[in-house]
Amino acid sequence: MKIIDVNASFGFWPLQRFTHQTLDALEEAMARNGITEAWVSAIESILFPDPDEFDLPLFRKLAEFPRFRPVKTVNPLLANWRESCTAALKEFPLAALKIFPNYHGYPLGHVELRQLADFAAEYRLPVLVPLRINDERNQPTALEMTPVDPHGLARLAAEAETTTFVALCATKEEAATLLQSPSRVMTDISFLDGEQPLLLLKHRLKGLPPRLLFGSHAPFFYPESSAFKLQYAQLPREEIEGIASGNLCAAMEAEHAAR
Amino acid sequence: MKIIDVHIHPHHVPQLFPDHTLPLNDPAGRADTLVKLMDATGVAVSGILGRVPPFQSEREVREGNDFTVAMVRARPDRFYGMCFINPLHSPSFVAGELDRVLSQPEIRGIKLEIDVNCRDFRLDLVMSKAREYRAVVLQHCWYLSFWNDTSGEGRYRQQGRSEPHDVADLARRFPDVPIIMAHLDGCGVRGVLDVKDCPNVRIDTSGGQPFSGIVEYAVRHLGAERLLFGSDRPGARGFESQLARVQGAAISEEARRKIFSENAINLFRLNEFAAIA
Repeated sequence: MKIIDVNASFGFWPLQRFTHQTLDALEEAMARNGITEAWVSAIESILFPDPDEFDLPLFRKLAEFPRFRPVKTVNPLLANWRESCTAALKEFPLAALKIFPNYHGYPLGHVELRQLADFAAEYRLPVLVPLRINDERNQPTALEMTPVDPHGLARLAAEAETTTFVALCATKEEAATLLQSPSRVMTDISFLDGEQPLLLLKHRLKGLPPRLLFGSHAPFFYPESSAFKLQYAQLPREEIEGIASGNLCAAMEAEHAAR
Repeated sequence: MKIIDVHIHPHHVPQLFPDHTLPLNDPAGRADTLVKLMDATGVAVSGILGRVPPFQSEREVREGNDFTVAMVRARPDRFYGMCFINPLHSPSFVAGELDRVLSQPEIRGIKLEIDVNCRDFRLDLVMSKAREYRAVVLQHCWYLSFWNDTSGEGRYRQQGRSEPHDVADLARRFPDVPIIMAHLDGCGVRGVLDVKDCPNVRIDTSGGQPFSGIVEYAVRHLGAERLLFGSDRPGARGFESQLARVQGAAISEEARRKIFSENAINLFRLNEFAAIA
């Protein structure tokens, strides 16, 4: 079964000492858990003002690992975001763009974000939106960060309908909100929890829409977590394969056909 | 590898999902359902924690403990129990209820939640009963960062909730009583350091999302002997994420075996369970 992990990253995060601190270790963990392909962004680009400073060196290293595809972090408030993305696209096989509206401090209705969405659609790049990085209960008081609003993201996705948005790290309540919205927004399984989380979501939604994707949130999380969610899922094989990679491939093909 | 799960909450989950109803008033049926879940995920034995919502009345405490005993009696080959006590009640009730339940072989420990901070003098009676019956005390614990939140987890803001430094205080007052500090991820690095010099404190791995690194940190600072696998299933957490925290950790297989089973077997005297043979 082909598994595409749309929610991986690599680098240094001051609040956590990761188990997987080298690309070799991360790659080995992905392989051990049957993850065929992982979309990897630079963790430092969340906080450092110019993402290129950490993205580009990481992308050069990722080229040595066929399992990894680079993801460009974009802050649409930066004057050069378009040039930065265009240059990266010429040099690297980008899988997606990733935005952090909460960390970078702009509303989901910001005009530059709409332009970024159009840019992503033009290049057929999904826009990944981590709703959170940490558990809000455990954040240091001085570094508390509010999650991205799933309702706002659903509205943005409905307006920018030619762009594929993927919410990452959504809780089961947020995932239900997103998957019930009239938009095409997708979401990953990394933060879904509770006994049989995928089956639970299916019952809650009275069926699993084909917008649920595999994401590990590694190295913040152990990739085993999402891998076990597939392994133990009491779902039909085709639904498990859809989450693993089929839903993503179908969405990208549909977008290609529509264009 | 055999897995012993020291932290499950079967009491307050009326329905898991439509295909897996957990009968509320049927301890035997609920026990059988839980065993199916355990079988599907390789768990040999689980420790049923008492009914734990805060501020329970005396009647609710008794009923919850009776339900725990009944579930264990339904499947004594797969479960042992922890009773619940609310130390806010009168000493006569607390002593009487602990005598009543701890004298039953199904119960091997006491679960404490957030009714009373564990530095409180009212814990003295509870701990003396634990000592008398050779019972393990399992204390809910978490370092919460959002003190001003009044919703959701804000209910855990009560004065009675305990943090790891509180558990360290309790452990120093009662060094001969084994204590499990619940929720490694919630206790975090600071919590590990808080109890490092309290050898009677162990930490269970249950709760929270499977953030990497904390199990390795705890093994480095405490030793694998002081960690126990717990899941917080089936209501609060899923088994998948909790299993990942130990299965994915970069620790030796010997350490993993201790966390998954050996430490619990020794602490709760589980050798008689055929399921772990």
